[in-house]
Amino acid sequence: MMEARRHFLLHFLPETIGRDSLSFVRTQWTGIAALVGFLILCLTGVLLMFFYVPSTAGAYDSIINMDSVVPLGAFTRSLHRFSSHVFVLAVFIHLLKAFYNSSCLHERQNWFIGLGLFAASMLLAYTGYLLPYDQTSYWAVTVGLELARSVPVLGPVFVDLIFGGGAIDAATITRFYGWHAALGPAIVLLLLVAHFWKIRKKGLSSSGRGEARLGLEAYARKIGAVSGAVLLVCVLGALFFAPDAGPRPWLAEPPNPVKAPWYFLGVQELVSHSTALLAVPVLLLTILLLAPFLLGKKPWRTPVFFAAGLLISVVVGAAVVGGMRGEDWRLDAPSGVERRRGKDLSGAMPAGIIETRAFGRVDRCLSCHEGMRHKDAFIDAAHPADTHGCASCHGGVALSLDPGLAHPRGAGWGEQRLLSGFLSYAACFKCHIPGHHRGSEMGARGIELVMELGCPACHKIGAVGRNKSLSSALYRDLDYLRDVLVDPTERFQGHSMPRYAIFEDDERFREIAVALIGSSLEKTRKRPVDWALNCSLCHPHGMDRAKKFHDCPTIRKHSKTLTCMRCHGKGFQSAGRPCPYIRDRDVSCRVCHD
Amino acid sequence: MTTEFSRRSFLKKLLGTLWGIAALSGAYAAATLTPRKRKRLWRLADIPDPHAIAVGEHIWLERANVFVVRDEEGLYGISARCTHLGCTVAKEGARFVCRCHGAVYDEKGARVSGPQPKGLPWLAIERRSDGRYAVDLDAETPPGTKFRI
Repeated sequence: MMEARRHFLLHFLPETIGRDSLSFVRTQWTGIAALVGFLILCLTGVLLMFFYVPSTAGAYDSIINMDSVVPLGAFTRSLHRFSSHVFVLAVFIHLLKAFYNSSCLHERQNWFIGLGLFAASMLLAYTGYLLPYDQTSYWAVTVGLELARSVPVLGPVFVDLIFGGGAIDAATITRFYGWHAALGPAIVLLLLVAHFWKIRKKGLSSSGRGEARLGLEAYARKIGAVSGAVLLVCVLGALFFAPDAGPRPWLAEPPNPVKAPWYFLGVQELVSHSTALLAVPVLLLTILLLAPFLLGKKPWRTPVFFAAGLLISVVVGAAVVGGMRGEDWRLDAPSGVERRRGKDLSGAMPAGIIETRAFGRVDRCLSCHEGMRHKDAFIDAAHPADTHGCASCHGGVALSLDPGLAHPRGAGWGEQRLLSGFLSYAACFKCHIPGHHRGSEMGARGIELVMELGCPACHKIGAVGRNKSLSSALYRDLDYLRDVLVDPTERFQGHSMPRYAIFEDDERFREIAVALIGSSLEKTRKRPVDWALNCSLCHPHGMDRAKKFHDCPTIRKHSKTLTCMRCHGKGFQSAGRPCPYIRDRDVSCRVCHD
Repeated sequence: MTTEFSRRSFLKKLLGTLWGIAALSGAYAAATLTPRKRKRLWRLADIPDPHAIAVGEHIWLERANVFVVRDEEGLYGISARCTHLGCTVAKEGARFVCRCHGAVYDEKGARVSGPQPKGLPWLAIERRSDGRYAVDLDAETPPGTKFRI
């Protein structure tokens, strides 16, 4: 032990500490958890700074870049986000602990330093929330801005200093970055030094007189173990709860509902009833600020003690209620049928629910679109809506009678987004081989492009090709897809995808968009081998064989358009023999060498 | 210590000076970070072609965040910014609905239900000297003021 003390750095640590200072019951180890969280945040944050672009135009793309191109980028971002939750939670509990075990009475200065740390942590967490600049964060921060503004006196000053004015724009994001990555951490570090210095000088707050003491080696080992456990929790959390960048901010329509980050949710819930209820958190903060003066020698005899407890329960309870709020800020779970929103159908339910069962799925589109026929007579005849439904080709949530739910719009809606216009052709791939029936010419040309350019050499297209999934690009808007195809270097730093000027031509772009989106649909993606390498590429006479060898009249009739994999998919998989076309990587050379 | 200017008093003065410098730096930083109050440089938001809006229809002006509605009596502008927490409201049939927290306004922008303190403000419409129509973002008018075109 004395040997170890010779090291200069060890002078920062006391010789012994009280056993109770490290007991879970007394401290919940939240101080250590907060410190470890902060250290992880600093490390991952610095890494993220190398890739993040703090501007309205670049922020979102840099996040996508981080998630899809930067090695370990997605994990770093996830770790940063998860540790921030751990950090904020630990800070909260640590603060309440110091209030309730009345250490705020003995350690006045450290209590105020701690309050400063609390404020700075909230600032860090909140400014970090906007930085991904997607639909969720944009609107959550908008709501937060309005909440902050409604605080009397200090609100407007705060809005000016932190937000840089009354709206979320280019100035806000640069400013948040400055707060989040420079000024905020600097303040926290300074206060942390002061916080620890006070602790070192006076001993840990919960150490009583005459209790058992722990030696340096023993308590260092314990602190190490707790820190390791916190680190493990953060890493596991980061692995299991990875963040998912939503769509770009969409100013015309906020998501439903818009929720502030969880640590402000209680305040938001209170304010959604009446702005006057803002008094609750303000009063609570006032009590915390004045705690050393308000609490008497026996804190549990002071009314403030209970008032604080009441206010805390109100805020936490409100946060729980706020967490349960669903669409339209309502508490009831959406049932899909009774709930109605969106287009006003003169206040009444549709006259009756008209249901179609199409490919095993209930399709209720015709309840509202009563008697609607496809405008293309050919499709109307081949795929009548009363047997095939609408959603089986056009997507959407066919079960819902709620117009808002049934027609998921815009980018980032995943599987169930509506396919309309030329994109509807993407749905043909669900059942048919492209190019073998009317209407699929566009997709067929798209597939030729995919093969010619060698996309599967690097990307997973449908079920084929290497593992770089395209879905992050496909579920966003078409403009984004076009930008990435025409000049990927604009969006992604340091990767090898070449430019494809060919897609400046609108027609070519439409073709490949149909092909790529068609390949990403659930039905096509799940097949072991799908249209992209449809069998007819290698077995040009396969369809004729089908006519020859299949007895079923339906197969005979549709042999030109049905994919082999609808029946042979399993067989191909179990055969385990890679198709020579997949093996043949010469397509990959063409990616860079013409 | 025999000297008048002892180490202790020197350190005290130094500490005081440092605190002073810190306070000044804080004030300096706050002054820099407080944005200059600037007026919006544009007051009028152009309505592209009011005659193209069918009677009973509306358009949404993105930059100004305003609905321009046309009915039999004329043209009127209603702010699309929810008075609760600033989300953009949607026009659903005759009503305006805020999807964030369920605020509902009637077709005149008056409060129906929800957490919002007041209705959506109406904005004056004017005809500019060159014949174009515009919404005046600084001129709030009493509900019901419509501009005949």
